[in-house]
Formats: sequence, structure tokens, C-alpha cells
Amino acid sequence: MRQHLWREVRRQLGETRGMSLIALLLLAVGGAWWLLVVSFLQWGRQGLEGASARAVVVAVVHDGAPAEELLQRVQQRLPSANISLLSQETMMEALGPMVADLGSEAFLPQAVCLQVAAEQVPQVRGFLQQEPAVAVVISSQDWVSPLLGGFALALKVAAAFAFLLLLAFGTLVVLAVRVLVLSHADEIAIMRLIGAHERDIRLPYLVASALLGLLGATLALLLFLVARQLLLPLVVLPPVPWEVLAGTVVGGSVVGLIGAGLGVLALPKEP
Amino acid sequence: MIRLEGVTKTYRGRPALLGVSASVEKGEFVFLTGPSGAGKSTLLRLLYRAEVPDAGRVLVGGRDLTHLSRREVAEMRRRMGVVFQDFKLLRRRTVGENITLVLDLLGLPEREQQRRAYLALRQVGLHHRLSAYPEELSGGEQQRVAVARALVVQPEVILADEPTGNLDPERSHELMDFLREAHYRGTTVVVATHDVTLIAAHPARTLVLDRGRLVRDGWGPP
Repeated sequence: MRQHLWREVRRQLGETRGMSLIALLLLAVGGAWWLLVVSFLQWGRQGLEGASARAVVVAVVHDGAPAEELLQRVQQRLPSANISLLSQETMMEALGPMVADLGSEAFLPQAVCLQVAAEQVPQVRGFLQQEPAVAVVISSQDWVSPLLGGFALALKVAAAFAFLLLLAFGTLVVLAVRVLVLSHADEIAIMRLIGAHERDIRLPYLVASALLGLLGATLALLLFLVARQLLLPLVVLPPVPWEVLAGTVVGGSVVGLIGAGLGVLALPKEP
Repeated sequence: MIRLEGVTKTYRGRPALLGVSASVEKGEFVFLTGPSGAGKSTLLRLLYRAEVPDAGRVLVGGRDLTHLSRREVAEMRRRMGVVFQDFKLLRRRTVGENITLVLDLLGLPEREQQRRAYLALRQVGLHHRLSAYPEELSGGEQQRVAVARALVVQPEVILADEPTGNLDPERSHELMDFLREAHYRGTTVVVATHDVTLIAAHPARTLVLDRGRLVRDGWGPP
């Protein structure tokens, strides 16, 4: 079935031009979108994970409370932490450009700023909250954790959408193969009469669909590379791991193969 | 080569063959005749295992066809030439591909396939139509392609079911000549036909069926 197989594969792809083209586009767009999402997630995650390795804890001191004494107590308790006192002037310099009606620096509180390892945050927070001079304790972990959670959720939504597109591709392949099998019922009967095995009959449909998947996934890779290049002035996306790229190509082919497998599951019976 | 032992076949209670017993020796040329509905096509369908008998045994080349697996049926058909009244050519494939496909199924290399296909088509005078599609050929030419497809595997047995049913007398005799040539080379040939003039023109052993029973086993037309 060597040269006959390839000729038959070409014929089948030709006969289902319209459906094949739609399936190809679905897979190409879906695959490229999936790879872009993976890139963006990686980019965001790398930034956030960098930020979350070390945490900043800020303890805002009550108005009039002795901030220097608090600073000394904290330094005694946490000698390894990088600790600084945020004076009213420093606070004014930091917040002034962002808040228009901040008024005089005399109205601003003082604060103690600590840079600690992320895992130390609960302990430091507990200690600071027990200090009578401390009004509020804020940590950079307060926003890093929800953002990481948001990224994880975005990944799930992106994966679900990509899965839907893949499912649509697979469904189109099943329909196309089914239509072909039914329109080839006479031919399949003749193939059996001249001694073709069921495998010989099914193979071209399977190969054609797997090729369609391979082509669609390869197009997805190309589309992704083009999109990445176009986004270069805005954001430098990290390279996608080769496992994800290979998985996209193999996944496309496998879905095509499964779709065709379902399409040729029941061949017309002998007349 | 072929042996039928008390073969009975019914379709929804209506008997098509009733206790038919006969044998065909290797290299024999046999006509199978009788009126429409006598059971000729059913008997041939049993021989290429498109049907299984309700009772009795069908043996080809010493093998009981009743208990063959799907794979074994396919293997058996690959080594058998069958010619149908409606030709049964693959519409979407060229004449050349229709012929080489059966050789491809046998696993022959491509060059050998091309060589044999050309020779088989030359034998039936259609080597110049290698790239044509079946619908571009006349009925007679299509039947010659079907004969070439049957001959190209150099089968031990050729079964022909009303092969001249769609042909004019001249083309019918031409087709019979091709089958005769195969017979002279040692192939066992069984031709089912209701055309008595054909049998008269090509006298051979003739099995006559009537309402599913074998009523005559003799020489020449009934």
C-alpha cells in the first residue's frame, strides 16, 4: 500500500478541501494562541516569582510614637534582615509624585521597612503586630500571592479554550472522515472483494488526518513565531520550552489520528 | 480445486441453493448456467466467500471457506481473480492504479507492479489507456480492465459472474477469448452466464442450476 497509500491520502485531502482548510485554521489559530498564552504566563510568572523570593514588610508607626526605638527593637530581634526607617521626608519623596493632594510631610506617618525572605513574612508580621507603636503592617506578599493565583487561573482558562479549539478540530476531522467513508462505501466494498485488509482500507484516512494535524500544528508554530516577533517592541517573551512546542505538534497529529480513528471505527459492511 | 459438498443457502427462508454438490478440477474451464434466480451468482459468491453456506461445505484449494477469518478471506481473495458483471472498478483511480492496487496488496515492488500492469493491459489491448479513468472508457473497455485486473495476479482460479452481461456479442466473444487464454495457461476458470449462445460458441463442461438445484453436469449448452 505504499504509493497507493500516498495517492489515496492526497485524493482524500483534496476531496475534503473545505472542511480540511477550516480544521487546519482552527488548529493553527488555536495552537498559536495557546503558545502565546504559555509565553505570557511564563513571562509574568518569572517576574512574580522573582518578586516573591524576597518580601518587603512595611510597619507604619502610630502618629507620635518613637519610630527609632521600634527600629532598634526590630534590629535586635531580626539581625539578618535589611531594615531601614522610612522617615516622613522619604515617604513624601515616594508618595508625592503619585498622590496630588498629599499636603505637608508633617501629616505623613513614619514607617519601618524590612526586606526579608518570603518564608519569614508570617513571623515578622506577627512580631510587628504585637508592637504597640505599630499601626498597620503591609507586606509585598499580600499582592504577589493573589497575582500568582490569578496567573494560575488564567492558565486554566487558556488551557480550556485551547482544548475547545482542539475539540472543534477533532470533531471536524471525525465528520470529514465519516462523510468520506460513506461516500466511498462502494469503493470500500470493492477493496474488500479484491483482497484488501481492513487495515489497508482504514490506513489512508488515518494518515490523511494525522498529516492534517501535523500541518495545522506546524502552522501554529509559524503563526506563534510571527506574533512573537511582532510583539518584540512591546515585550520580550521568554522562549517556550521545547517540550511545549513538541507537545503542540504531536498533540495536533494525535487529535487528527483519534478523530480519523473514530470516523473509520465503523466501516460500511459488505453488500 | 473447487469442491461443493451438499451446499445449501437460503435468503430469509427462500432457498437460493439446495444441497448442491460438485467439483471442478485444477485447470478446468466450467460454465455455470441456468435461468435468472437459479443460484448462479449465489454459488459464485460462496466461492469468493462473500457468503457462507447455511449447510454443507465449500472448499477451494483444499481449504474450507466457511471457517476462514477476515484476514484469511482477504488473503484468499488476493490470489483469486474475480470478474463481475458491473466491472467493479474503482472510479477515483486510473486504469493503471486499478491494476497495480491488487499487486500492491500482494506486496510486489513498484517497478514489478508497473511491468505486470502494462503486460496485463497489453494482453487485453488497453495498454494505451493506462492513465484513463474508468468513466472515460466504454463498457467493453471497462470489462477488459476488470479481466486484466483478474489476470494480473496470475491466479489459480478465475471466477466470472455474468462477465458478458453488459457487452455486445463481439465484445462478449473477445472477453471469452481472454478467459480461454488464461485457461490454456493452466488457470481454473468458472464462468456464470445465462447466455446459451456463448456456451455454444465456447463449448466446455457446463453445470446447470435450476431453482437452487444442480440439474445437469455435462458438456456444451443445455
